Amino acid sequence: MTGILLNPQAAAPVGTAVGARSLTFAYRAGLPPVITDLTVDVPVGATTALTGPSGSGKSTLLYLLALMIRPTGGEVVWDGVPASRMPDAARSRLRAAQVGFVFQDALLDPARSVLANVCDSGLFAGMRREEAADRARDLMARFGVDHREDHKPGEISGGQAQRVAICRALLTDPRVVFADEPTGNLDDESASIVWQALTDHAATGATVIVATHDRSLVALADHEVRLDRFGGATVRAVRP
Amino acid sequence: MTRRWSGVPHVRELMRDAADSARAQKAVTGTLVAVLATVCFAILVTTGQAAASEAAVVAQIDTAGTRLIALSDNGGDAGILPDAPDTLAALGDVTWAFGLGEAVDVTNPALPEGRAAARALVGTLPDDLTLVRGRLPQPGEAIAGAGAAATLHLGAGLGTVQPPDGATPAVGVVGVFEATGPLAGLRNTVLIATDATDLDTLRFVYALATDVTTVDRLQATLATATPARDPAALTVEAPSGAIALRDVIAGRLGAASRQQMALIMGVTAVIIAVTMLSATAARRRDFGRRRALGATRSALVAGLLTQTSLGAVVGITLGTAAGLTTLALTTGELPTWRFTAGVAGLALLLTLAAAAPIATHAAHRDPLRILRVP
Ligand SMILES: Nc1ncnc2c1ncn2[C@@H]1O[C@H](COP(=O)(O)OP(=O)(O)OP(=O)(O)O)[C@@H](O)[C@H]1O
Ligand SMILES: [Mg+2]
Repeated sequence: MTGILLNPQAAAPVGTAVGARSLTFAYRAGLPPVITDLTVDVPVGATTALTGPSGSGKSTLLYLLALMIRPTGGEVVWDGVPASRMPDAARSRLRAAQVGFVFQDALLDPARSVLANVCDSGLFAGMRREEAADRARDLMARFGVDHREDHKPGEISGGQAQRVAICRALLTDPRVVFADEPTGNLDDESASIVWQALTDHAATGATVIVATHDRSLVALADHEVRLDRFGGATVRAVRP
Repeated sequence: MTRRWSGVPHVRELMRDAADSARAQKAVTGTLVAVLATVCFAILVTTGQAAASEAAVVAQIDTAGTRLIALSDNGGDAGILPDAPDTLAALGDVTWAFGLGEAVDVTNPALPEGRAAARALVGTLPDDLTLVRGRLPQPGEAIAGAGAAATLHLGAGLGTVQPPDGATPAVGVVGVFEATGPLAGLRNTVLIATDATDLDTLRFVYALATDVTTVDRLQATLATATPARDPAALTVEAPSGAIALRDVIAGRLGAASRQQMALIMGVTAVIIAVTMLSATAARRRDFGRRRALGATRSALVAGLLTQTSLGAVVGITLGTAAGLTTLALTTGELPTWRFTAGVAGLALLLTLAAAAPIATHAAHRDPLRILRVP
């Protein structure tokens, strides 16, 4: 597996918030690693597209960089600090305060209203409920799902659920946004609204990493990290 | 760009979220409420009643009633010697002792229609007999119990009494007493102060133990220490209060209900644990999602325990209110507030103790394994 930073003519990286150092990960001991010896820096204040064939480990890498799972080898670095070595509680707080995550399948709580779902990330970040609700309504209006705030996730379309998930990810104004196929369920118009929102967020100085198969999105990104499969278990990471 | 979040949730917001979860998981909360209400109710109406009577007994400690030992010669065969009160009063553990002779019928010769029992009194006049009129008697003089004074028409409390057949000379009554506590029975008796040397035998001897804890020991020695012609014919009665107190000290009173309480608590812990298991199983994905969004394990555990406590507190409040009401209506006796608060606190602790390991286990599941397996 190779991590290649493409689009060298895009805006030069102004720094790095998140990176991987000799990162290796296997889901279970005995299974071939999904990621092997990957070293990569994700530029700040820009959008980075994470591409690669299905099963190449895009989602896995996002989870690793977002400190949700711990590497089998190497480390994930945040602001130069080996954050993957931090204790669970510290990694959780960092996630709550600085990370916005859009899951590949939205991952909303079916039992609660769409608005409550968006407010969830605010609870753990340390927001007051009323403040979270105000911000949530603003975001939902921006993504055209504000008229559905009292509905349950089961009562909205897949595309709307994806937009709700993006509202939740952006609620805390996070330093780093990880989005796993955020436009996979969206029509062209909705997809471009979402992409624009992520680009706008990057423009505020945030780091935005988007795993996607959509080549037209990749063309709009500032950078591309491509994961390739080199047959069997023999994989390696290259940083240009 | 503002990056101002701490990543530490507000305690109040966590509580509100836990309250939302309690409302959302109606079956779980309902089970908790029902179980804890039942438990508190059951404990209060069983053990609470025993505790109330225990409290009543303990409140009586050191009143004379728990320390008074009565020796009686019911058949008249024991032949208690008249110096028995003096002998007993000399024992270290005895505060005072007095004896009563055989009862004789007396009337007031001035108004002879009323009759009362008179007994010779040997020894100190005890505190439970309070003089309400007149003075203490010298040997050969009498005092009448308030009841006897009325029966005998000893209006001002003064006068004389004599057996109706005039077999013995009239005795002067110099005072009236009120009898309370364990000696209340003497209220209808005329007591004639008598020198021990002027009597053959006594029918009753009362001895007051210095301390409630010596009653047992004293009771055992009195039968032999009392001078009598046939000590084996003596009946020794310890106060029922002291017997009850012994039971309290030995933990016999309410022991059965305490065992019952332990059983109830054990069953409750199991029910709570099972309820929590199903509650956390139902929220597996929710916990994974929350962990992914940045909830720490301790935030999850705290939230779960808060949610559980909310249901428990409602149940405990309802059960305690119902239990106290039932006790008040049926027995009229309420356990002390300490006991009631103790039961409530114990029930809450039990809930948390049963829920904590399950909440901790749920919080330690790998969030991603949960998220990736739909
Ligand atoms: N829980 C798991 N246990 C074992 N293997 C897993 C687990 N989750 C994913 N994998 C494997 O890890 C590899 C990478 O999966 P991942 O989901 O990261 O790929 P991806 O690039 O995101 O794919 P897609 O484009 O389809 O979303 C795949 O081969 C997958 O089968
Ligand atoms: Mg994926």
